[in-house]
Amino acid sequence: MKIAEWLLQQVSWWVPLLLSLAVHEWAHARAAAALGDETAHAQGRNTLDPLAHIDPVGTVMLPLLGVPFGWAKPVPVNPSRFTQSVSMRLGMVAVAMAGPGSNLVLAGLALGGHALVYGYDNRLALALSALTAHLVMLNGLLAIFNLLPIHPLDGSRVVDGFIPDRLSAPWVAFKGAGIVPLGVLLLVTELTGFSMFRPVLEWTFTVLAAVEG
Amino acid sequence: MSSRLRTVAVWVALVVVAVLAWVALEDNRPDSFGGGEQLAADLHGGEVDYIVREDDGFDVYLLEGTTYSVIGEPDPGWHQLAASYGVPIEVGEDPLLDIAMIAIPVLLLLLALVWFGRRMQARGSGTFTEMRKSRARLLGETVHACFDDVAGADEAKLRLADIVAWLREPDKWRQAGVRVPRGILMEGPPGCGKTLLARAVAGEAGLPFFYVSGSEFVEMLVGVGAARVRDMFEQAKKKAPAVIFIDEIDAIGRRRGSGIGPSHEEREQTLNQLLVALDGVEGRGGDIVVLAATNRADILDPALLRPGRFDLHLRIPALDTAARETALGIHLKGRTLDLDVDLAALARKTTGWSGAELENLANEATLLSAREAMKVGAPVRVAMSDFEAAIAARQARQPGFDRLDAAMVASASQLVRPDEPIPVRVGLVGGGEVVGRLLWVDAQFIKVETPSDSGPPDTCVFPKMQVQSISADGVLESADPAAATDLWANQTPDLA
Repeated sequence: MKIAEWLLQQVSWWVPLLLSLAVHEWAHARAAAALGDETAHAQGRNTLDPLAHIDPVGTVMLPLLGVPFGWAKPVPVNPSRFTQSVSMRLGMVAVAMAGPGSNLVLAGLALGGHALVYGYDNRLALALSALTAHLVMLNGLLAIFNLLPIHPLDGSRVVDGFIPDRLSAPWVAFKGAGIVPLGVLLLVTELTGFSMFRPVLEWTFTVLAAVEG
Repeated sequence: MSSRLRTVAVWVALVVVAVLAWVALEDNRPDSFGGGEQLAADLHGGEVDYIVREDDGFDVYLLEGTTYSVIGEPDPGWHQLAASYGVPIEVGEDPLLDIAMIAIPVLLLLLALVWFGRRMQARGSGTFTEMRKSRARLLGETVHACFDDVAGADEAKLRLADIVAWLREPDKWRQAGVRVPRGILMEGPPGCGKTLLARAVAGEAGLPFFYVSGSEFVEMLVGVGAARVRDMFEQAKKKAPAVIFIDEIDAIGRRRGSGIGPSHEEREQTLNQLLVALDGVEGRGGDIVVLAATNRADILDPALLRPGRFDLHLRIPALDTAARETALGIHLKGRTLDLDVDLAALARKTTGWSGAELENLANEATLLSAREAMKVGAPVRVAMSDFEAAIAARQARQPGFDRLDAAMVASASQLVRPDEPIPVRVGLVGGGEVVGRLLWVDAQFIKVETPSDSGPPDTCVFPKMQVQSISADGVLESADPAAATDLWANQTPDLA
């Protein structure tokens, strides 16, 4: 494989990833703003502009290195600024769910777009159908992966909201371990062949194949 | 660009890049897949142009322009077959791919970091190295002045002329055992020619002239001010003998220990560095004369003022009548004046005005007459009436005070400037009395308009020191003239 070819391939994955991460972070910020917390908005994060959400390592270097993993700058949320109409716990859950939810919506939209452009024999349509397929896969992965109830992921915020009091001490201790549990889980599952990503990818393949008829 | 527009632009650009990347990639893809049998058949048929070996098989490029890809190694003998037909086999794998896969993202990351760093610095003020440079500017020959350009300050000029003589022929004076003053501090009210004198020293001596303002040393970052002082002296050393002029030195020369907090520490570091540089323990290296100007000499650090640093203190006083006349002459050089223009009279009318104010007056008057002259296309001739209009305009700009109250006229020091002229009777020290209308009061002077027998009224200005008593004329006499006199006599002289 030529270097140029490899680069082009990276770009065809990286651009959809960048857009998906932008949508994900924007959804968090938008949800927080809707609930009354303007923190993210004040920091210029309530935007779909990917440049506002880029993390140099997580969004640029790792994905371009070919590591199938990445992240954007987290959106700051201050639950104490929520409106009175929602409890802080529930508000945090809603803000956390907005990210993966937006990825599901984007996956659905991309799937629709894929169905529209698939099957035409011209270069633009081919490229667009490839990019929409990438979008479907990436957003499916992002949505499911982020719902894992492990600390830095959005799923853990949902647990924050619903954990019963008697379990909250061990849960806090678990969160105190930082990203170690997540890293260990990822390494173990990927290296032993029980990849969490593969089933998700297979579902997206199934859905894509169904749309392509 | 609005942020929404920017977002749209970024999305469109990204999608376009991705589409282009994919199209380019697609162009490099083989058109179809084939098997070993097809390859063998094409080789026998002589239709193969060349073969590219990939890591997972090989691509076959046919003479007719199409390509197909063979996965794996279907027939171990195929390359012998290809060799026998003279079909070249190329290695498709870029040998540098493994390196590129690491190097390109790292390079991108570095670029991103540099870009972010640039943006941060653009918000601040330049790079660190630039920041440590002195802001001192070397003024060219053209801006040099000479002593004749400076009105008044004759004593200071005399002393500075010595310095100039020394700077012109240092060796001669050195033989006589004279050490040139290291630093000369000029202090005096604003606008009276301190800067001009400094330039005149450089101009008369024909030396490089470094100009820097005290506030230009100050920066939020600790250590920058000191670095700038060092840099300035190094620059000057290269051009020695040279004159360094630090304007408004009180910005850094303030008495140490007169404040707390990091910005004070930074200022004190700057001052310490300046003291060391003036001292020249490290050897001043060449003859550098440091001139400094301030109108707040009282707040300067004593260490700065001691001999060996600023040896010579020159007072640049406010302009006296003769100096004002000279100054007006200097500023009106090259302008055509009406015959009735009396510079001496103007000088008398402008008591307390600084050189800068006189320059402004000259300019305003010329502007007024030029405005009229241009209407009729006549050459510009500045008339006395233009000057008077300019003076009146300037005085009208001064803020007014409360109306003079007859009861508070016991002491001239209590006087405030009236909104409109008030009839007064002024008794002068040493006898004499002036009756007229009080026009103007400031910290040191009062101005009284006296009716004259013929023509417009005269205006006289008295220093407050000279006023023994003042009373509102025609209203009532000072309640107790003796007390008034007493009060006035007890005033500490507040002339600067």
